[in-house]
Amino acid sequence: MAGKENRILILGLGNPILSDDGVGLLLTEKLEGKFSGVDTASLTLAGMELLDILAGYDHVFLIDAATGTGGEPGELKEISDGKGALHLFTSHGANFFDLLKLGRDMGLKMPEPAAVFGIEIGNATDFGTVLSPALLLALPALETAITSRIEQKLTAL
Amino acid sequence: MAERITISPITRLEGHGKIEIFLNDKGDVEDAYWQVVELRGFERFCIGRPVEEMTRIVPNICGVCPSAHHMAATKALDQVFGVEPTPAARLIRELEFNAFYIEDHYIHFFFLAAPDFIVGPHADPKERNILGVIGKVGNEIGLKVIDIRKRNRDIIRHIFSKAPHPEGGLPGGVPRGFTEEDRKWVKETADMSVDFAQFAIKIFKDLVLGNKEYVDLITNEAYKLKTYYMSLVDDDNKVTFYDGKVKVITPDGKEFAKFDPIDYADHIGEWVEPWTYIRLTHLKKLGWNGLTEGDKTSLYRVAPLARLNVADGMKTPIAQKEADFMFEVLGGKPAHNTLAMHWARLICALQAAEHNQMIANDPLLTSKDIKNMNFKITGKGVGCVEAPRGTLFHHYETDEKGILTKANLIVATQNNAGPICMSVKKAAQAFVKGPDVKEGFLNMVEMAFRAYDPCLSCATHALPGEMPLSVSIRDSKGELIRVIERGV
Repeated sequence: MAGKENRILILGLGNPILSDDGVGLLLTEKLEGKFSGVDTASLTLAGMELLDILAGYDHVFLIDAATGTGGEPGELKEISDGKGALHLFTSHGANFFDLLKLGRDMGLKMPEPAAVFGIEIGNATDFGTVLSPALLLALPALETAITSRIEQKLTAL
Repeated sequence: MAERITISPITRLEGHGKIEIFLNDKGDVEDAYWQVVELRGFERFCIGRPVEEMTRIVPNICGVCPSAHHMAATKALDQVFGVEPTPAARLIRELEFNAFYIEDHYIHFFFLAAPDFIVGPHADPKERNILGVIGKVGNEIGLKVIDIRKRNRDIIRHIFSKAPHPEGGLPGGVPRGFTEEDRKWVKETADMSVDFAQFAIKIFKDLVLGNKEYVDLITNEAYKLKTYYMSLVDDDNKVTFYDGKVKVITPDGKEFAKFDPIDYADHIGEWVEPWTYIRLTHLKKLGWNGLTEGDKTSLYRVAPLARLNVADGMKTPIAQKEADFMFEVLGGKPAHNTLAMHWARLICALQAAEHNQMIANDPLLTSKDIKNMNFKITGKGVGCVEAPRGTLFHHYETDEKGILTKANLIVATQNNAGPICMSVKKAAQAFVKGPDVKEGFLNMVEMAFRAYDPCLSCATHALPGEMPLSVSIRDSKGELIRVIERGV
């Protein structure tokens, strides 16, 4: 991850040993270096643990596995309130949006969520280091779609 | 009519747990269980993999204490590959592990525990969180916690490439050492960490010990549990985090056992009960005596208070002074006051900081001799560390090519699972009367298990309105008669 002077972060969340749960991490790694001046971070973290990582950024793009978005496994949803995303609503202290407020209340500079990308994974919770066939097949299209959407958003920021 | 109350915090990364409280016909608590539903099959998932992958895999088991699993795996790899880390590598590992202690213990104390003691156990849940703590202590406290954690994470990142999820653990060494230039910022971080540790203890003394109501709570019989205690100790029987012998004391403080971690299976038994997926650990030589305390128990506890109970003292001078004061207030060793875990946690963080000051001044820190690569696969390794939540064992066995054939983990929360059930029951018996439980009293039951800092403790101090808690009350026939939910 580059220095925080860039002020824009693409943050992938998930668990790399829980198969499809880690799709956000994989996609974020694929986006590394694609956008000038934009940092990327793939983290198996949630809640309070993210506070000091987010502090100092102006905008953050989130990429996370999701369930219950109404889509098929591998389908991309841009979710304005983050609902369905698996690691934004952890029990470890605070949900993502409250965390941003907490940081601000503490006097920290916290980023605005530029977009929250949720990738539907159904009910997959098995241990594994590779994606299920459905997610594996969808990966190139997901990368293209998220890249395009981030480019659009960056132009407007 | 017997009724059942269920407190069910929900999580994903750290597992899924709930508390069930059974009421008798009079509405008093008859029994209570702390249940955990784990993701199953992790050990099976590991088998067939090259053992050196474990240092990258195990930090993902838990979103809360990745460094502890990483270090236990690294130490197990030392044994599997038949190598001792060089003295400099060992020193650097200790530096990293102390840094982890500091960042870990403060997020628990300030964000998860302090709301109960600084804002108050009966305070409005909307205020009983870190913002409430900030309101009482001042805005700078939150920023100080963030800053000290960030600085210590920089140490972890420097050594193992990625923080707070390190993944660079090597058998026989560390991937990266320190220069004399680096020593300056390491020393500065250690100095600041000692100052912060003393500041944190002062807050505890002023705001917790200075309030009779809170002292009464800490010393309340409802929060006492007489068990055996287990912890790592160093050669001088002092508190140690990175390495040592496993020592066990009886409920009245006598040494019961002291053994090399590789012999853990001779001393620790695992018991299966139908109501939990956690295998309940106990002292094997005593056999499984159920969920009992006192002379008949075979249960032991781990975590900060256990460390201070088991050891003859602290490794560092200021921490020793603070430990002496704590036992003076609690009436001597061993102390059975579950809520004193929070106090002991601050003292452990102080030792970690003081120890890092010593390491920062050690000439060996900048040695280039940080890898011992004379590998000879032995086929077995047991890595043991005193994790922030208690003694942690990773046991791996491999074939002659280093492919895993067996993996067994005993984690801190597993060691404490039986006692947590009992602590919850005692608190519930004291504070729950009938199904119409007020939120503050429910919180006082949760405080009994939050003190252990199990990963689920994180479930209980979310910000306003978001605490995932479900209370179900059922009659003796199992029919739901009342549901209380928040943030589910």
